[in-house]
Amino acid sequence: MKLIRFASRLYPAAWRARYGVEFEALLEDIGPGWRDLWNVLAGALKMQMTTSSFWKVVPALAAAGALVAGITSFTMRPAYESAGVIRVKAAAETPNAGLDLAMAQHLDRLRTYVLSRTSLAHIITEEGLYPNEAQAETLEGAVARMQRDVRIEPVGVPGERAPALSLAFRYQDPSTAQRVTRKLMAEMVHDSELAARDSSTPATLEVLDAARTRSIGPNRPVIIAVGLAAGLLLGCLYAVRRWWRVLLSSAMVGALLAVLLDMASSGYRPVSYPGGVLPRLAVLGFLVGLLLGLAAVLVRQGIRVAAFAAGGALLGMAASLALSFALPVRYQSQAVLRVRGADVPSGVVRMATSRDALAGVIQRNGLYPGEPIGQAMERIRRDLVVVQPLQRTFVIVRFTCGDPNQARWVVTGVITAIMRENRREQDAATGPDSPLEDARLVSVLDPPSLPTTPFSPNRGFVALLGLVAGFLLGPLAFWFRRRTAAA
Amino acid sequence: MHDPTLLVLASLTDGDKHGYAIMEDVRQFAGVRLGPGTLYGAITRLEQQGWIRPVAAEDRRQPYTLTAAGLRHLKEQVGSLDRVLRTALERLERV
Repeated sequence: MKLIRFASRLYPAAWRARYGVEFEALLEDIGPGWRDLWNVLAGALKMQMTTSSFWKVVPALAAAGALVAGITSFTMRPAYESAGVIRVKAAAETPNAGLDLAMAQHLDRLRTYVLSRTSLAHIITEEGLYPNEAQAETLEGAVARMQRDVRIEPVGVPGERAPALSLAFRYQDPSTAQRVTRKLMAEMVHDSELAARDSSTPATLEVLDAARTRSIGPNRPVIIAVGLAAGLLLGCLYAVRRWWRVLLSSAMVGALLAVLLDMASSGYRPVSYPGGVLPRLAVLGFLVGLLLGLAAVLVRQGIRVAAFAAGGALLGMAASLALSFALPVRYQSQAVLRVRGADVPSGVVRMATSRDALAGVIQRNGLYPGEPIGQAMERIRRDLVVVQPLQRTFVIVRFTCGDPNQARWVVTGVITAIMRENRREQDAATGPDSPLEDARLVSVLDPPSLPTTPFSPNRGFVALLGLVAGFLLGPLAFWFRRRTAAA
Repeated sequence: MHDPTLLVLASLTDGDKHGYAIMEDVRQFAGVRLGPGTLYGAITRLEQQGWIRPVAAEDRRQPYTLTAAGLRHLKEQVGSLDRVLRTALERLERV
C-alpha cells in the first residue's frame, strides 16, 4: 500500500534511520488497511512532536506563518482611498471668543448629517455600492459598512485659525471611490450653505482639494512580516513545552492573526485603529487564541478530558441557544430629527413625551394589552429613549418592543408629536399659520427604521458565551468526577 | 488494559520477539490489536527507557528482548495492578 509507505516517511529522519527498515518489514507482514494508515499517521505526528528540536520547530512555524500570511495577502481585494480637503472659513461676524467651540459643534453637525442613514443610503443606491450587503431590504448593513469606510477629520492649515476638513472614502474600485468622495464633499458643502442662511452659523465651507485617489493595500510586506513574527513567537514558546507558555503563545498569536484577518477583510488601514478598532480586535483574537491554546493543552492532558471540554462546549452552546429561544425577541426602531439653526427647546421634547402624550401612544398602538395604565406607563418609559446629543442639534428617538412594525409606528408617533409640539409652541407665541421660524426648523434626518434583525437576544453572542462557559466547565467536571471517584 | 508499553513488556517475558510477533502475541493474550504506529511508538519509548533492547536479527525483522530494568518495571506495574484487581474482586464479592 503506497499511501502507508508515504505516511511512514513522515516520521522524523533520525527515527527512520533507526527503525525504518524493521517498520517497513512489519507493514509488509500485517498487510495494512485504512485503520493502520491513520495509526501510522498519528504515530508520525506524535513522534515529530516529541522529537522535534527547538531549531526545527521555530523556523518551520515562522516559515508556515509567513506562507499563510503571504497567501492571505494575495486573497485580499485591493483597496483604494480617495481623499479631498474642504476649507472651513470662519464667518466674519462670529466673535473670536467661543469660535473654536462653535466651530467644533458646527462641524460635528455636518459630519453627522453626511454620515446619516438617509444621506448614505441615497449614495449607496445611486452608485450601487456594497452589492452583497445592499441586497437586504433596509440597506442597514451597507450603511453600517459605509460609515466605517468614510473618514472625516479636521486637519490643520498653516497660517489659518480655522481648520480644514479631510474627507476620505475607501472602496475596491478607484473611480467609484473618487466619485463617492466628491458626492460626499458636495453634500457637506451644500448642507453648509443651507445652514449659512442662519446668522448663527460660525463657518462656511468650500472645496480646497478635489478628491485624489491612491491605492492603500494590501500591504504585503507588512502582512507577511506579521505572519512571520506570529510563527516565530509560537515556535519559541511552543518549544519550551510549558502549558502556560502554550496558552500565552496561542493567545498572542490569536491577537496578531485577528489584526491580520481584519486587514484581509478590509484592506490595510492603520488610520482607523486609533479609534479603538485595533484594541477590540486584538482582545478578541487574544481570547480566541487563549481558548484554542487551552484546547491544545487539554488534548495533551488526555483524550478524555478533551472530550469532556468539547462535550461541555456543545452542551453549553445548546443550553444557551435553547435559553435564548425562550427569551422574548425584541426589535428596535430608531429615527433622528435634525434641528437646523437653533435648539429645539427641551420643553418641546418634554411635552411630546409627557404622561398624556405617552398614554395616547400606548392607546393608539395597542401597546402592553391587559396591563393597567400605571404599569404600561412605566414600561413605555423603559422602552422609549429620547435623547438630544451634540448640544441638542439632533433628537434621537428609539423604541424597543416585540413587533418590528409596532416599534416603527411608535417612533413615527413620537417624532410626529415632537414636530407638532414644536409648531404649537410657535403658534402660541406668534399666532397660527405663520411660517416656521428658522430657529424652529426641525426636519427628519433619518426616518424611523424598520428593524429586520432582533435587537435582543443576540443569539450568536449568547451561543458563544454558552460555548465558552461549557468549554471551561467540562474539564472541571472531569476532574471533579475523577476526584470523587478516587475518594 | 490498553497500555501498549505494558502489553509489549508482557509479551517479551515469554521470549525475544520482533514487531509482528509482538503484535500477534498481544492480540492473542489481551485481545488488543496494536496498530503499527502505536506498537513502534511503544518500542521507541521502551528502548529509550532501557527496558528493552534489540538483539541480533537474521533478516529485516528486528527482535527485542526484555532487560533486567524492564523486568523490574514490569513486576512493579503488575504488582500494583494485582493489588487493584484483588481489592476490586473482594469488594465485588461483597456486593
